[in-house]
Amino acid sequence: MKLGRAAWLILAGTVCVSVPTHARARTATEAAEAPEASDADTDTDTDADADTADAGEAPAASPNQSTPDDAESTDTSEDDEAAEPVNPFLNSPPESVENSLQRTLKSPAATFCNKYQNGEQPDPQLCEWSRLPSHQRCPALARACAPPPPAKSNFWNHIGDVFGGAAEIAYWGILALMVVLLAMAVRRMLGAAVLASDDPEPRELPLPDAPKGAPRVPNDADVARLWARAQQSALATHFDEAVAALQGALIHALRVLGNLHVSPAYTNGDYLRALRSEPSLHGAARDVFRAVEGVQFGGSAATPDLYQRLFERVRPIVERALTLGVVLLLCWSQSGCSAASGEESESSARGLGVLTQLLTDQQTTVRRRIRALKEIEPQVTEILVAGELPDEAWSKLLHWVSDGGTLIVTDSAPAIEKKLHASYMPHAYRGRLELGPGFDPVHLELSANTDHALDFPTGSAGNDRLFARVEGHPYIASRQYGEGSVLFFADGEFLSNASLSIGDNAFFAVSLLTRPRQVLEIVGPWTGGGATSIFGALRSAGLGPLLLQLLVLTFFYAWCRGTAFGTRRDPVLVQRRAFRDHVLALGDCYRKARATRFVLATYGAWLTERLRERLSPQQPIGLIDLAGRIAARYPEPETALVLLLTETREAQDDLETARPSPADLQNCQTLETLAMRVGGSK
Amino acid sequence: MNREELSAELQRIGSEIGRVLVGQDSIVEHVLVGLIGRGHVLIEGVPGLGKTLLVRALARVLGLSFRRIQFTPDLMPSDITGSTLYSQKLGEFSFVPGPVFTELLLADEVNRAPAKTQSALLEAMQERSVTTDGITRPLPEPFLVIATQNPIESQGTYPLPEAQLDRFLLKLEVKHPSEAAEAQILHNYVTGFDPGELLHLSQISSQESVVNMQRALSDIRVTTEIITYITDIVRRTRSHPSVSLGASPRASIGLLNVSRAHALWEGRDFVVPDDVKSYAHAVLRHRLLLEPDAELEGITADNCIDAVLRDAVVPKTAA
Repeated sequence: MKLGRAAWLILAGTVCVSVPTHARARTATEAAEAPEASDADTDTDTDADADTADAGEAPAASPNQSTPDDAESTDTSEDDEAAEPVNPFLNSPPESVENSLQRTLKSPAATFCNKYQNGEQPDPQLCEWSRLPSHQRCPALARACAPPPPAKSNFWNHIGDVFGGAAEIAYWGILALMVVLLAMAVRRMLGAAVLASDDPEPRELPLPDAPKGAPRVPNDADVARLWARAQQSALATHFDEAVAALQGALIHALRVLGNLHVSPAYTNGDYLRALRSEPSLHGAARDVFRAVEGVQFGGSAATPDLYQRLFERVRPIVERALTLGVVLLLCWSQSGCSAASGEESESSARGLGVLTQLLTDQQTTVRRRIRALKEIEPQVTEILVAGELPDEAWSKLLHWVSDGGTLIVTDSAPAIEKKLHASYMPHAYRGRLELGPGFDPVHLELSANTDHALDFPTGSAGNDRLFARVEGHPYIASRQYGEGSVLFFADGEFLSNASLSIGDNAFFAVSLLTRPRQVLEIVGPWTGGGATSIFGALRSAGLGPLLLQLLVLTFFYAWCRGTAFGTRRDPVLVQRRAFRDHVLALGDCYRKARATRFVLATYGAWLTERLRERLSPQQPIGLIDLAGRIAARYPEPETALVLLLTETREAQDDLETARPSPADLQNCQTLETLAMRVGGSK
Repeated sequence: MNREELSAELQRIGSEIGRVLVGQDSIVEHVLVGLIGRGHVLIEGVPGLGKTLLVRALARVLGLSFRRIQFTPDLMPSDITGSTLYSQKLGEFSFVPGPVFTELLLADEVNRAPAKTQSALLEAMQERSVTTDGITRPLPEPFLVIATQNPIESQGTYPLPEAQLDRFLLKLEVKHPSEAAEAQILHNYVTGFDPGELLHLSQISSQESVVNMQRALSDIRVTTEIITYITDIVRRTRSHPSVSLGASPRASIGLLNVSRAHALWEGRDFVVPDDVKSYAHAVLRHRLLLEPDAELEGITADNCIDAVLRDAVVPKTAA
């Protein structure tokens, strides 16, 4: 044990060789619990470390570190001919990576590592990872292949499915009903507006100023709370409060059921009148109201018997309202769940949470890039592509690579194939990977669960580097492009959480990707996908269905509650009215009062004066002369004109005694016609 | 008689009158409540809606004496109150009571008479006594004046001043009956109903019983919240933007009395907010003087009262 640790310290200090990190981790973490086994395990390491220490500056492979001879390939000779590349696996301290990995996997956020502790359904993907012949750190991976849980959960699942389906049907049914009701309400409103526009006297009543009377105490409008309050008050023997709460629960239950519109200005009598069309509800409400009013205003005592009697009357109605509320809530929650959709979580088996944490622990900042790729900041030295990107984005990335950046690719892309002549080919494989040539004496236990390999023709060998192979095919490799390079992973799964929990995959990935005090950005479909409008943002966030439901419910609420959203205010009053409005209003008053005689007396006198001005502007003339002048100009019988003018004059004298007659208005119209003929009032 | 018996008797009176006055149950109820509340009633409605029939039926069912005065422009105060005449047979002056000395008086088209004649009646209504030649003579108990006026003809009329309108406890507006009620009226005529003969109506009550009902009002309980509610409503009429003169304290008292009377009608010994609210229009509508602009806009006193009731918070509401 001591020898093994000493050898490890020497190796870490001289950075000559790396040993399997999982073996180191086991040594560090399990030694205290199982010293004998730990010693046995590390004996082999000790030998290897001793050998390495003896070798001094010429490191030798340990027994469990295979030599490059184990993986002979043509690429080895090619690499030997090229310039000696830096071995990335000698720069990362394995113990640090292992500790970081252990800490990350034990955190509650690593759900994939602990997901199956409660005997949930198996996951084929996790099961595949658990079967790989490497060191397994997550117990959940092994349990992912367990047989399905007992059938008892099937019943509940079945019940859940049935209720879920019923709730969804009920939700859409209610939604459709709401839309129909809303349309009907709008139609009624439009109809009322049309009728109002046809009404020649649409009147709007100005409302008074803010209430100056007794301050309003806001009461609870929640049926369940009122119901509970009634029972609590009854338990506390405060039966007066209990019966008042029962009445409140009844009123608001009827409101929820759509039978009442509740207002602080409404009396119980108003509610009863609104319930006349519902005899059963009317009877129950009348009994309750009378009893509660007797307590509140009549000085009657609220007794337990009274409370019990009212309780029995109110209970069916309140229960109906509460049931409706629960159904709506179920539909709401169910639909909300079904509308939810999301990407793979960072902490799931396919997520990148472990990689992010490991690199962060190595002082490499990892972040998802939301901004567009228009300008890439200088501190960004690596970009990992996770997902599909448009061609324009690939062009920008390759341009950035040519300036010195490192691009990490995990899937095929036409731009990459065209520019770098590297592509992906189908190749299913589950098992150990071979480390590429030129990394002696390092031996890493790499594993993959992949369906692809790289088609990586070696054009200019000096610019390429092969890191791992799968059955002779390149699996992880990099290629120089301009000043920078592109690092290919045959499968994005290699960087996933499940993959990094196995063997030395984590150490391998961290060694390749760590850039202390630099930034690695992860780009994907979300990059540059910032919405240009609020609707696009809502769509991207998946909030469309939720907001639609809220909107429909808001409309429904407004339809049910009227103007409950705010206090009604008076419209701005017109301070001055046109003279025409006053004349029309005055005429309307005359019409209502049937003051035809008064109209003839006043308007007729004014018209007579206009006739005099027109027909005898120089000197005043009598009515008979005026009639003669009119008859001389127009074909009107002079006798009739004399009678007309005389009647008009008499109307001024017998205002109080004469009865109204349609002839008065006829005389007015005749005079008006004559006055207009002679030029009117101008 | 206890409260339940009084209430039942009131309901029987209403039902009996409803046999001849079809479709005007609300008016009948209001008139009876006004009678119990020791007030007078002004009824406004177009001719032919049964106003006179209502009063005649009321007199018969209540067993009260009844007189009718048709107000005309040449009606004199003495034609109402009575006058002192010299009797040649007795050789002395004696007072001949006018029609006001009755228990139930119908003042038909009260706005047709000049102001001095109206004043004679209104004084009798308020003081419940008549003073002539320095002698004050009390009017009988109960004393109820039911005055009518036609809302559509204003020529040759003398509108009642607001101060005098305040003497009326209730102002009722008689509407046309519903289609079914009108059909029932015709059916009654077909089967031989004669509005001039009300012999088939039963006398349900008596003068003594009516007085007992009026006295029973003092036993009707009124809580502080109800008084606050009444005060709130009346005060709001004074601050309404369309009202230039709001209701007086006499209106508050009237509303309180009417609420008590309605509680008795309903068989309760306590007043609830609905008693106040349901009679607010009848008590207040003739006591509000509207702004000229509001009148020109066609706003009525009922509109203002509606707005006031919309804003007044009902005591102990569950909302």
